[in-house]
Amino acid sequence: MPGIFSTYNTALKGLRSNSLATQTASNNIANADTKGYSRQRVILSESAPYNFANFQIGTGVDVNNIERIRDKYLDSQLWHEYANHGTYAAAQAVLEQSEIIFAFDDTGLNAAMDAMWNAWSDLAESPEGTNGRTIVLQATKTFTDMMNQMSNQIDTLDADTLNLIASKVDKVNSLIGDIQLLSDQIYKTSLKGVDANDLEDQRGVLLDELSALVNISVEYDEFSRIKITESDTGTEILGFNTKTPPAYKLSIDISTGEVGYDDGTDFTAVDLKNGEIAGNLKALSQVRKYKDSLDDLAFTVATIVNYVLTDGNTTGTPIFTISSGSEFTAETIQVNPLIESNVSLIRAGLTGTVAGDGSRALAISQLSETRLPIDVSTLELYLAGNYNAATMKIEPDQTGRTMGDIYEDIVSIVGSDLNRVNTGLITEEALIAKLEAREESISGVSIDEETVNLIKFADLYAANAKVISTLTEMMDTVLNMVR
Amino acid sequence: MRVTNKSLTRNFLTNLNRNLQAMQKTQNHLSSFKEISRPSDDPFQVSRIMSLNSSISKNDKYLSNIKHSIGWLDATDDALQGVVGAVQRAQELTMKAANGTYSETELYSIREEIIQLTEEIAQFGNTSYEGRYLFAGYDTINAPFDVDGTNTLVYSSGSSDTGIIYTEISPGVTVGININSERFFNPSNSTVSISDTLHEIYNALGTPTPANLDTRIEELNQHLDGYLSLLSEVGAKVNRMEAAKEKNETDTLNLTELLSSIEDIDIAEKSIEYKSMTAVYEATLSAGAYILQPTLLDYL
Repeated sequence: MPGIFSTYNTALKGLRSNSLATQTASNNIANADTKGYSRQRVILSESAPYNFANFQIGTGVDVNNIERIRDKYLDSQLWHEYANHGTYAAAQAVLEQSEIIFAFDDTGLNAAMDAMWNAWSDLAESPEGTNGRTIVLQATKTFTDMMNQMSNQIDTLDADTLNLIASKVDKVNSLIGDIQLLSDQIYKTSLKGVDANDLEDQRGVLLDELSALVNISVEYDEFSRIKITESDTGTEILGFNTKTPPAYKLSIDISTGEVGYDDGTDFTAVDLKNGEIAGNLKALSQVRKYKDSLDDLAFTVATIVNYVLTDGNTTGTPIFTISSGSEFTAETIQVNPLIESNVSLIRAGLTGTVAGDGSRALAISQLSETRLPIDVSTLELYLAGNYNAATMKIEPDQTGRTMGDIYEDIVSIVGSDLNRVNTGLITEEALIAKLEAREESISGVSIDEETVNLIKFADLYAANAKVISTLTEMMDTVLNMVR
Repeated sequence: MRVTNKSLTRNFLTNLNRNLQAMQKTQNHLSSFKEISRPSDDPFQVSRIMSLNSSISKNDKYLSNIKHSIGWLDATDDALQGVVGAVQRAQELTMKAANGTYSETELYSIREEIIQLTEEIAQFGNTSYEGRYLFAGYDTINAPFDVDGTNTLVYSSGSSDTGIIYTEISPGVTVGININSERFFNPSNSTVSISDTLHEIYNALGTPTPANLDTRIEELNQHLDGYLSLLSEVGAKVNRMEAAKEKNETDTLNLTELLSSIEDIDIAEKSIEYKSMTAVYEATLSAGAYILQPTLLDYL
């Protein structure tokens, strides 16, 4: 037969569990806006009853666990999308800067090129004296300066992006270290049979950060330790064991711009497809392609103008020279210093001795309309076979493109690359917003709900207290009987 | 689905941000007056804008070439008119002399006038435009003609210059705009040049009974025809230039219009768009005030 004292115990358990539930509700409210926080819930169960005669008597309530409400499947979906989002966002950051370099308005290279062709036309109109030649020199210098500057800007962007990637690689490694440390604490806690809710939330935040950088998939073991696999190449970057450091460490070869794994002795480059690092790498390779195209343009302009000006490098002074190295690129193209110091070296006519002959200058100004082979490596060969020294004209390649087209192509490729990334980013943002809303609906704290809970627990607490005061009255009754 | 306070705020912020982004875009349009300010706005149209701008810039250059050529051709025309006048006068004088009723003194004065006419033709031949000799071929900085000690029209450099100065008036279309010294010297491209004829007349008039003046008159007639055909050639070129100018201006207008239709904003449309966006934004803000405030706590 249960005594009053054992009922005291039942009431006490009720008080305790309700006060714990109140504590949990208030913890939820306090963390309503904490990053990565998952709402918690007290799991109660009936205490073990004891048998008395032919029935069982309940002994109150036990607190089983404080549970963290989290959907792990949703987590992994989100991580995957964070990686996709990271790809686009990182690419966007780089490509937006390249877009500024390739201006298309009257400050762009196209305008400088048009001005250059017009200057040659001016020279054709007044080939006497130095006036027309000075105009050509200035316009050509504007063009080469702009080329050099653009090349420079791309190089800076290239270097900045590499540094950014390197810092992200470091971030990945330091995140993995932090995650391993947290996993270790979680492991130790769970060995004691306790759920390390808050530590898991913290680890979740770190995993969110990591997933934006590289595409990861995560597996859990029974002690809530995790194994992280980088999904694009299937490389295990963190094992379950919280004591051994990861076998593969992400690293970057700055000289080549390749990212890969370092197993302590060797570096193996890999092809990452998703995540911020992959996005930066992809944008970097695109930027390098733009630079190649710009180099092609510099090469074409310099080669073709020089060719017509000097009848295939046989006579006269070329207007473009190479500042260093052996090939015309956007970086090395420059105005011939000889011409810069003596503009009368610019040949305007067929022979270059007659004052009023501007036919060569006219032929050069008409180069802007000449279609040339798309493959610039064949240009010199093409010129050798298709240049007429008497008319100073180049037979156009009907399947080719003009020099203006080359720049237009670069700008539209820059634009459409960025445009695609922008569109992808918008889609990803919408997708992530939906997933996060779902996650929030599962793990988020609702103030209304918690308030209702608080009231409920307060009432229950009062009810349990009432039980105790009732028991006290019963106790009094019993004691008074004795008196 | 559970709806939490955070999801409400987050939703609200996302929507608000979306409105703001749209507003910023329209604001950008309104302040730049351009529909497209970055290549990624519309890569295809950007490449059209660039080629249109390039065409407009080239067209402007063609227009300046055309205007310059018209000036050049007008000056050529004036000079050739003068030459025609001089040749006609020479013909008149020669005819007079051929009548054979003139005394030696009178013939002498006619001869003097022929010398004057020779010098006049040389002067016309040395007409310059913007500092360039019109009839000099390529050698535009040196006067092409001279009258030597025997009162003969000669090339000052000793030989003719056959250079033709071309100018580009539309893509790939070049027109030679000058009459070179050879054609000026011998417009009818015959065995005798104007110089030969005038010199022969000058020589003949030195004798009491000038001989072969009829042949000279015939030659002068030929030269006159030659100069007149040069004049009509120049006139035709002026007409061609005028037509090219008109076409050029129409083209530029069309190109500019096309460019404007691609890159410029419709200010009325954008302003109205912006107004309605502002209204939506304000509505979102005030709706936010209703959505975000209430919790159960407000009613306890």
